[in-house]
Amino acid sequence: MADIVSVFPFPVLENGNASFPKGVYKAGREKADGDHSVIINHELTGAPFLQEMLDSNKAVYACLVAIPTTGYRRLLTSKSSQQEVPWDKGYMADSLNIRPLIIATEEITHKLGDDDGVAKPWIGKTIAILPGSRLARGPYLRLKSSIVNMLTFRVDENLRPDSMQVDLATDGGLHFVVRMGNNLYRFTRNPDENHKMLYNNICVHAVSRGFELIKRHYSGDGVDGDESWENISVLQVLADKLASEGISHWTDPDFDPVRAATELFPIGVPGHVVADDEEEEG
Amino acid sequence: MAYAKLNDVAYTELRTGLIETKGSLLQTYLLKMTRETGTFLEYMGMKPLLTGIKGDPIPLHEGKLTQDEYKHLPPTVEKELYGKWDAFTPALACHTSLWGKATLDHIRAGKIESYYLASNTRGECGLKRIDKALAGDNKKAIDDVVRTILRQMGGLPEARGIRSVYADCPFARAWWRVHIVNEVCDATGDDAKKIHKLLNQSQTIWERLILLTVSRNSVLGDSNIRSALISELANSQYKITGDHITDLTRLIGRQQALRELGILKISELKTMMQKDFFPRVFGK
Repeated sequence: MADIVSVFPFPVLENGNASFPKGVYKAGREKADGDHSVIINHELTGAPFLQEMLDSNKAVYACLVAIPTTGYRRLLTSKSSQQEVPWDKGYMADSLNIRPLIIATEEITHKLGDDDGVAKPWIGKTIAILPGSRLARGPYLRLKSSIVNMLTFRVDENLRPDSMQVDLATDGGLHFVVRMGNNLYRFTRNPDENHKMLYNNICVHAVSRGFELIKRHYSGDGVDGDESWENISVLQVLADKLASEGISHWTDPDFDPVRAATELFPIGVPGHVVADDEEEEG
Repeated sequence: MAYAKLNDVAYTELRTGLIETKGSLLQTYLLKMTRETGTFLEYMGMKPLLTGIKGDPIPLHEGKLTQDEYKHLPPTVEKELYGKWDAFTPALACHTSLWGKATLDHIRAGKIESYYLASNTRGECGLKRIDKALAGDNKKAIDDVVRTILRQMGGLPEARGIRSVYADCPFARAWWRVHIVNEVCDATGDDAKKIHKLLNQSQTIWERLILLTVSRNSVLGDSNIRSALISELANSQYKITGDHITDLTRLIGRQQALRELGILKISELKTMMQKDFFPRVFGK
């Protein structure tokens, strides 16, 4: 049961906060023209107070774009519900997070009433909002942080043409280098629509091995000053993803890399549609 | 321009293998090899660190560096190196393999000696630390020196996360420091020397600032907030310590929890630092 979160001195629309009982704030994503931007479609319903703030330019739609590894964090605002969100490719590292928001642009004092769409405890209260206050928060949209995006494919002339090897690399953020023989590498560069299932299954093999390497290197607590997995953002995201799917992760003694990989990315079999794992949200 | 880096898989394997067991034969062997530049280069040459590596050579420092200079690169040298590396992007400069290659190339060119890598922040000579560790039977002492070597040769993310690259490797530290100096000066119009002096004042201050810049829920991730804080600190009369940085970022973090400070102009952020935060930290 959601609560009215009292830490905020004003009603906020977000998951787990019942300040706007009928309020819904969502943000969808579509591809933009270039490789270094995305289109975010903000959608707000059932929260008349927030809509009024937007309509009167006292609030704007916004996206917080963050690439923690390289210290990149930008707040981009938009008066329109459709927002192009670019980022600087020179900062792109292992993961990029976008958090959709509605934020106040000026100081607001307002007495909340019946027409504002807020929960009963807020009605009659006078609230003071400072510029930058987050009035609505959508879930993080994460790009480049699912395990498939942790795979870097490389050709290795020393391998047999159709074989591959997966290794751990911590360079510039944790990732897995999938070295492939010539044929396999060429195939993965341009898998046509008819062979998408085969491509997916190759990724499942690599992900299984990736999980095995994570288990080997990060199942401890980071004793002796060594890095704990909890300090590595891509692993935190991955653990959250596994938890949301009801799958245990690498610190569980019963964690089975193959099972986890195939539960997360089911092996494609003819006649069964395999979902893409392009980008995850959560 | 694409610069040559070490083979990331081979370099990761080398590091993880070396820190796996304290006092192992691998560790003592590395220490013996690091005593002299010639044997160190032979040792590194036997590893597949350059397998499949292509790209432009990394420009090097003009002259030779003493051990002390290498350990704490003077601001003039940091600036000179950044000038040579101004084509690097943050996305490239976060790579252990880039800085490992830069370090190896400096050793190969005789600009630094391999044993410099073993010197520590307290200024102890690398050669003495190696000899002391090899002479004793203390596995932890051997492990400590091995880790120092790896940290300075591009960073040890396995042990310290990504901050190790920015904080532990002198060459990487130089690039990131000047990068942030430029960022602050572009945003505030401040004098670069003044900003550089603050960031170069102590390893603790630098490490606290950079950790808060690159951590997941980073308080100083926003470049405007970072610039406003650094600018105000550099222009203040206070004697700044690492604890002050921690206290200030805690206060900023509390504000950030309620609202996005990134929406404010740099002048508004600077005023906020001066009026709201500094008195509470320095007025204690």
